Amino acid sequence: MSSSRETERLLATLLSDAREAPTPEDLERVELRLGTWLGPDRAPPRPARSSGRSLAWKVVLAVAGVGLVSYVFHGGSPPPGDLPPEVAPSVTAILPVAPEPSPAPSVHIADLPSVTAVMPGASSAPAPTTATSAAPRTGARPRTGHVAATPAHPAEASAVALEPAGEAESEAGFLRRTRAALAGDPARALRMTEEHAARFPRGVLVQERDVIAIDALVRLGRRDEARAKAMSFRARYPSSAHASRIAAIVGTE
Amino acid sequence: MRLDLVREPDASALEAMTPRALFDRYASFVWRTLKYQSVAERDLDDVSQEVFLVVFRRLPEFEAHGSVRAWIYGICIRVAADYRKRARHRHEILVSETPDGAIEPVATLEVERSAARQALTAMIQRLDEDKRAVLVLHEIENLPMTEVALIVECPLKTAYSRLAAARKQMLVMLSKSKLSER
Repeated sequence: MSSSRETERLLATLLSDAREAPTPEDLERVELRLGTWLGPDRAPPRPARSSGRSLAWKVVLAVAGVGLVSYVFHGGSPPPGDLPPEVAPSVTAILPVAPEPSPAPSVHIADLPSVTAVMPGASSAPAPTTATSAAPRTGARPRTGHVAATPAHPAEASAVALEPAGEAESEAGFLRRTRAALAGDPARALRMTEEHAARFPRGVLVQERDVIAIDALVRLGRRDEARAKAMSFRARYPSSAHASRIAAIVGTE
Repeated sequence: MRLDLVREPDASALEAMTPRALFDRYASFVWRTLKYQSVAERDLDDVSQEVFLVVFRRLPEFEAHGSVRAWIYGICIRVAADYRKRARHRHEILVSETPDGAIEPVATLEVERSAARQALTAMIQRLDEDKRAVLVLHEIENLPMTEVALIVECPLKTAYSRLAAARKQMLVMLSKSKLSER
């Protein structure tokens, strides 16, 4: 039987380990999904986070054995308040509980006002799509035209960002490079979006790839193709969060 | 204690409230908050994106004297609740997903670690919302209890009380999980 101290140590380790999530890859995927809403790319990629807790894990797992693993698969669910006497909580201030805060109403993105007019980051963003494309369907301010093949911020398409990262490159990393190429070399960005399907046949960032492809087509002056692709996108993903961006890019709204 | 005196140091720094700055500072926090609000792993990308879209679009409504983290946390909670409602309509299983195959008796460290993480997530998700919020914000997000109390909108003493109850329940669950094998 494990002592309460061991249990507390295990809990502390588990909670500490939980801070390691999400991985840089997880964040890259979200970042990519947000695309031009975020403004300029951060130049250096996130360094891979190494786990400094492996040794602690070996110790804890050696103590805990496989009991914890079995817990998940046996689905134990003890009743609250069933505390063995040897397991003492580290915080002992037990005081009357205040009334529950009332639940807030649910939020729907479509009902929310535009933020593009007040965000300094958005207004100074490099790509023509940055501020205007983030506008919701209701359009709080008029859209400006899309300037074809004009890199407003050459730094965005830095050589570092365009360097291939090798065979192990993630889907998010590949699309980051693709997006970085957009401003300086839209033809290359378009080729990379075509390459994406072959490299990542089970990719999960297909919508993000299509947004880049549509943007590239507009920048190359191939507006008819861009509009056709945009229509196809809307048909496939009618409730996509990218819909307003695409509308702004092709100028259909 | 006056909760209105407890504010994040960055709360008034509106110049830092750009989408990029908000994402860089709070992306991990949003991800973890959603995770412990029963958002399935496979949907964390989408729901995190949704949260940030709401954040960016509601930025004009943010009160400069408020806590950014508390504001974002509130959005996470509402978006996650909306997500769970949608998922229920689709009859999806959101938590405690287990692989089809049995576990190998001699698991590698990483496999055990991954299973332990799953177990922790499952246990946290079994806590009541008020206890779960305090535990996650203090023990995982490492926030001081004054800030935790501000975020969950309760007196500091109540926050401590919830933390103690949450830890107690977690220790019971952990203890029983080990006892079942020994």
